[in-house]
Amino acid sequence: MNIIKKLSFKENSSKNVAKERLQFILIHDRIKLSPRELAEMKKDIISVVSKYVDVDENELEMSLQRTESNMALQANIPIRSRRN
Amino acid sequence: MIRQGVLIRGTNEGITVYLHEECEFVVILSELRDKFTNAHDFFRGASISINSGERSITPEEKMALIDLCQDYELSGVEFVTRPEVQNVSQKDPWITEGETLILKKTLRSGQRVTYKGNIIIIGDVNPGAQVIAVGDVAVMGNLRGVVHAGAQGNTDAEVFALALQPTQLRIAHCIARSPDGFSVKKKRRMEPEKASIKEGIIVIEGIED
Amino acid sequence: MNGKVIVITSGKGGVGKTTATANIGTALAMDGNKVVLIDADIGLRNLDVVMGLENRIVYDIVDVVEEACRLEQALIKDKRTKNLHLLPAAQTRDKNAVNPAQMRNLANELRKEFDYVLVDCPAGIEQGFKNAIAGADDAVIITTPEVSAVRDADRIIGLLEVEGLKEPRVVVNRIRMEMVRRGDMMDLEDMIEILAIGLLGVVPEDEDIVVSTNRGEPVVLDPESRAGMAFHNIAQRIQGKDVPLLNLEKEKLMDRVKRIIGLS
Repeated sequence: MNIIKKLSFKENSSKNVAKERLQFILIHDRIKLSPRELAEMKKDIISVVSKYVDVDENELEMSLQRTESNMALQANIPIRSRRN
Repeated sequence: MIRQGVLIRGTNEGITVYLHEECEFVVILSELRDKFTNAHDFFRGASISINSGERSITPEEKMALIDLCQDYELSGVEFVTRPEVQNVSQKDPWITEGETLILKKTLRSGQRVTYKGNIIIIGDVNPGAQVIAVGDVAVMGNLRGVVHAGAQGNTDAEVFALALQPTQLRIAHCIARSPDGFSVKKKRRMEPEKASIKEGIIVIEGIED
Repeated sequence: MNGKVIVITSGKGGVGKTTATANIGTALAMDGNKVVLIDADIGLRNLDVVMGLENRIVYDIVDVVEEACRLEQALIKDKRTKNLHLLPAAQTRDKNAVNPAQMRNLANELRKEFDYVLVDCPAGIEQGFKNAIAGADDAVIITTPEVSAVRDADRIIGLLEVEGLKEPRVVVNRIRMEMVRRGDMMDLEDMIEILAIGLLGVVPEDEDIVVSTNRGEPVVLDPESRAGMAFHNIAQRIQGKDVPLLNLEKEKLMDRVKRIIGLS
């Protein structure tokens, strides 16, 4: 069982969970957005983008990039297909 | 009838309890008990100094006061008595009545006791704790911290402990330190030892019963 | 001489700041530098114990700033490594016994005599932290591959920036390669990507550290230790040398077999 779990669920490994949680926590720490506001923002972004393209909601990734002088919010939204 | 047998003052040094010189001891004791009861939270964990001024207190009275302080969970008591008593020769037997601080607690890392006379600790002195006395130091327990006897230069000062394993032991200007290296000393039974300066160096010797 | 003052900090406690300070300092001294370690964790001193010097302390940092003794009197010579000294913290005082200006003076005084002044910072972001970073030219942030430690490291990076320490570098401590391989621990790339700062080194989890701390001997003195090697490399990079990262992938044969047949 253990072996199968390890082979098949690479994406859900605790490392990825840690990384994802950390990215969310840091967005909150750095730009003082509460987890709720963050979730709302995520929802809003998705609703805007999905007007034009079909996106995979669960795969949206957000992170903060720190450069020398400022910070940038990055959203990575996998697109399923183009809407016709 | 004296209304105030005890007077409590807070100073920079801490809390001092002054005992009236003529008041009967039982009255003093009951007044002090009342004060402790009324302000239990304030006194809990505090260390006080009891100044008996011109009054002489017997060893029994002293014990009664110590017991009372313990009942109310104070952390330490210091007795300050008539000034002239403090000038007794350092050559006198080392537990000199009247200039000895008696502490009934375990001194933990970061805690430090200094006193211008002798110090008796009924409890352990843990690593990281410091005991500094102008006179002698006696530890009725395990001495593992730093101890300094004769802190103002008295080379006749002595350190006594039921188990003497100090991180560092100083008498007057001499310093001895524990041996280097990893060693967990577990003594099966306590072996009382005494440290003193002999011919310029600190010597530790056992004490015969 | 105009030595470099480097503060070792982390935010979170228990990630190995003190161990790192002792080991990086010892490694720098073994490379021939004159090094002094300052324990800035006043009230909770530990560097002396990790170095095995606790029985030599007579004066401490608070005595120095209060001018109860001269600076040289408070410096303890290490018992094993030449050119290595310790300025111990006071144990019976609190963080307010030293202020940032005094710390800056002290650092400037010491940099005249030493090539490297390493400051072991207390955990937290309060007064003790502000004191510890006051005189520093550079900062090294210690973290572990855990969400809480990385989050605190990020907070510290921000605070250091405000204080003018713009380019801190990070040491990832206690990494466990077998867990990284299983996908149960963040790897270096993950952490560097998130923190977006330079990597100074990576130190594997190593039982030798526990043993060496028990003994009061820095692990860099043990040539066999993997963690010791990692700290040596970190010291080299601090001296400006380009040293490749320790190959953490080297695994014991049994672990390798186990992994291949899927047991671990």
